[in-house]
Amino acid sequence: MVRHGGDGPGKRGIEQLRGIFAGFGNKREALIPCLAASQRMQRSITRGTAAFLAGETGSSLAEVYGVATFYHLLTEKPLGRNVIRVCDCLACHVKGGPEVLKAIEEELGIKAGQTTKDGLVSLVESPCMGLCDIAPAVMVNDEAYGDLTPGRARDVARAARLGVMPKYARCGKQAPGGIGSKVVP
Amino acid sequence: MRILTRNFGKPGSEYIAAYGDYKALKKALSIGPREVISEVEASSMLGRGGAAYPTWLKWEFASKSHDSPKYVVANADEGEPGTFKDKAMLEKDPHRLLEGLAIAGYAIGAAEGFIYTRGEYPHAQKVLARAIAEAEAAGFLGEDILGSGFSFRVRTCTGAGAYICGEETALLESVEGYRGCPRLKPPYPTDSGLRGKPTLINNVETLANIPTIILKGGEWYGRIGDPHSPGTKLMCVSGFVKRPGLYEVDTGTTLAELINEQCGGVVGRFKAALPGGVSTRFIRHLDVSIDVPSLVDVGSLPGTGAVIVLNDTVSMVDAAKNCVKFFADESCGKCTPCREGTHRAYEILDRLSRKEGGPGDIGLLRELHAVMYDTSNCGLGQSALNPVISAIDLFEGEFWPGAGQGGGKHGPCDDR
Repeated sequence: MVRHGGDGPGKRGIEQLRGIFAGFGNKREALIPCLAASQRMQRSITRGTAAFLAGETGSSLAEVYGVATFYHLLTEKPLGRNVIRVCDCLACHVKGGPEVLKAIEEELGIKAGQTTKDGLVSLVESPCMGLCDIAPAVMVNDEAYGDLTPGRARDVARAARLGVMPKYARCGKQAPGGIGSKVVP
Repeated sequence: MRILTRNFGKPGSEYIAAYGDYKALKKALSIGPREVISEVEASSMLGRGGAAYPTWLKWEFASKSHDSPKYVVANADEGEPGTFKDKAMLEKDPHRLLEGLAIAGYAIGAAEGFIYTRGEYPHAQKVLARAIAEAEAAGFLGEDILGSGFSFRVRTCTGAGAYICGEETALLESVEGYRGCPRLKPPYPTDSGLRGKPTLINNVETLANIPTIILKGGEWYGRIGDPHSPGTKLMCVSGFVKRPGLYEVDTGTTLAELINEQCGGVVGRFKAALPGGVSTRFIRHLDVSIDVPSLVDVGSLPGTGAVIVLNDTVSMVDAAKNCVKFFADESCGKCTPCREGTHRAYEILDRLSRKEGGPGDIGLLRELHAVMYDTSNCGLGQSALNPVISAIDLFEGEFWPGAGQGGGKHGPCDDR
């Protein structure tokens, strides 16, 4: 049995995680959903939570960390309240992704992979998020913002810091074609 | 022809009210599992996830497997850069996928289906969860469906950010709660898949075609587009075109027709395109038709249908470096050729892009590609250097200055 310290999931967290375990016949299959839920609750996978999950799934701390560190969306480093993910793949890259990243870095005063000192915004480089038709694009938490210019990217970064995300920024000036694309407001 | 995207324009297309009854499932339940597989065979449809394997054959293997229980998995871990078709299917017409999944389950004798969606698609997950609840309430999923005695439950699984989990056995590892490292094949998932039981894994787009095949008949479907890989194909067009987006075309349509007529043409002067995501080879001529044999003929693959168009503002060294950086980040680390090869290739391209390379670097990349192609455990390592080698094949002159060799921006191979 691995002991978990002060950074564990807490009483309410344990309740929630046990609720997830209850939905699975095999506890091991609940590990990734539990890690994702912990990431949402605590903004990172803490050692205490990893130890708790190791105990629950009957595996070692190393095994849980092995899984947690394999997946990009899980992190041991605490993320800020809002997370900006900047796409770094080919379609966004050739259409100005690096300039968008630079503008956001300048606006927030941090580099990709860092969190602002006030803990409000984290900036992460991300592999393709399926927003190639509105490249260059970023996601702020669960919302997509596309057709960005460095200027609009600064607006998005500023809004993420303030915690008020503009809905209209979902798509830009240029109307993407095709039948599956989002409608420009 | 529009099969998969038929409902996309309807208001509330993601609700069951817009999709209507699961008529194809009803028909499948009346004709029996053998006949369902025969229809899929008659359609000659090839899988839409990238490997282009005959769909009916996978179904046949899974159905003949004697072990039980059996499972069906919809692969919605769409991670190939440039691809967003499965996301559109999930967000705009999830019931088409659910009906296809239920029919697949019925055909092979499975009582449980899984949909593995990538973690980067939170909106799609919400829409899908609602669609499953709707279908259960309507009696199209769950116990004793439409009074047939066939029961089928669907569960959703969410990835946590790993491209490799789109590989079918890595996906299974992830569902089981492990690191997403591909298994050695054989055994194939149709013999030993999820929890060691026979498992049918199909791409979202593949399964979404099934209701139409059952309703209209496999022969009808087999007559659409190119006879060797019939049907329609969802194409995700991005990069330098006037109207990037998702398009549904009959197979056999040429890339030129797609890009010039439907997407409004190239922005700037066309340079090269990837026809199926960053693990396929760059091509420089667009008069190639979108079907498996034609793209294989020009040395590429249909992949996931992600067309990324580059114009002459893009440096091929930079594009190749970007592609390899992705694979170096996403290699699962299980096998050495891929884990080491992707990083070494990135280092070489990085120094070429900074014009600090040596004369042997281009040859080294070719050698790395050959070794990785022959010895990597899964498709990631085997195809990781496809964009690099094809960029060198087509635009070698651009790589020379970085390798300390003569020649300007355009070398002798760039003979436009």
